[in-house]
Amino acid sequence: MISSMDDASIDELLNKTALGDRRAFDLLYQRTNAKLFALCLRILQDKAEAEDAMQDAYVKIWRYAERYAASRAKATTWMIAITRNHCIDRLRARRAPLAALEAAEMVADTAMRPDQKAMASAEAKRLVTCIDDLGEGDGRLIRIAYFGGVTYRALAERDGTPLGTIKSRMRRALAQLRECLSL
Amino acid sequence: MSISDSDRVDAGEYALGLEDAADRRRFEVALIDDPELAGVVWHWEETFRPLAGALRPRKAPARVWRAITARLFGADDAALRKMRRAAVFWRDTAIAVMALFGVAAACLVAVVVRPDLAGIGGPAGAEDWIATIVRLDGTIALARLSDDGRLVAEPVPPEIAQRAAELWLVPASGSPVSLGLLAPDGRSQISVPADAVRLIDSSTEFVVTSEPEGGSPSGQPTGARLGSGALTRI
Repeated sequence: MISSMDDASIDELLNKTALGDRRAFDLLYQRTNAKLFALCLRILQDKAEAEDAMQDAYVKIWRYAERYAASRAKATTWMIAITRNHCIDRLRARRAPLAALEAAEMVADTAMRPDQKAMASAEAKRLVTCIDDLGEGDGRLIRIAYFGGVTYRALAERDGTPLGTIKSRMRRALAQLRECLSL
Repeated sequence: MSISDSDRVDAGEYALGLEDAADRRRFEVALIDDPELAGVVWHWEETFRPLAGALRPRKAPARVWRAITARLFGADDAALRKMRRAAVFWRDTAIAVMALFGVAAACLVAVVVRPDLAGIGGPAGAEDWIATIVRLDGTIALARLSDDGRLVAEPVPPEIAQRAAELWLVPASGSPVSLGLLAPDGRSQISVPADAVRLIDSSTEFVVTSEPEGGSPSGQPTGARLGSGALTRI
């Protein structure tokens, strides 16, 4: 993962990018592209689409860099949010929500267990513990949602459950997660 | 304003993207005036970050970087600088909104460097007016007013069905002048009346409001402001 030790330098590179420094942008890309490409591949499950999404994401990062400071987020978080949102939009534009959900579930079951080494930081461990505490069903849904598969509507459609029921279940899970993480 | 537990869960729902588009837009409207709530959204993003961080890195093929630089810097540098200058005219509030929605709504457009739209590459010496209209959903539209009085505006999808997006020219002093409805899809080509063109100077603003279908009945803006932008000569 992008370790917190790197966070400071990535923040700095993004700040310089905001000033139009192409060299900083180049370095920023070198430092971050493998992480963001992995994210695009995971969400989109298609190499060509992931490459296109990467292009769009970095174009946005360059153009929006000046607004990153106002978000008060960490640079990596900001870049991940841009990239993830873009990939999810693409996924939803490409597939019916239900198909997207099914695809995401397949991924969730095979590859969504982060390996221990990568989840070494204290925050990561806490997140994994708290997600596991939600139980198999809800914890899995949170993971799937993060990687772009789930909307309330798709869940309701698949299970034939009223929208309100699904919604209150997930809201309970989020509230529990928040308590566990003491957010 | 204090943030309730329910607000925090809303923010989590939003960060995960559980709601569909209409509900997301509604939440974004609440975010506009509430930086504290926006902070909660960012906190959730931060919380979930390890999920993305735990993926095994995969280096992107070299062609991706080549394509990015070609898209960003392939255009004539002078043209790019020209566009940058135009971008300076964004209103402060618009920038504040973008800081959040640029990411949250995931429909960023930024300074759309589109030579066809911005008038770059047109006949030498021709001066065009350009407006960057920042919409509440975080996207930015560019409207160009060419010397012949023709306005070319990017599509503005209505926020709510049965509403229309109406474009207004707001002079520094005086009442707004309707320039007509913006097409929800496809680019609008609007002929600006000559007397409206005369009102245009660097303090003129373009504003897009939400109006009943068919446009404002009173001839003056009645609905919510969907976006606005300054007008500048490029």
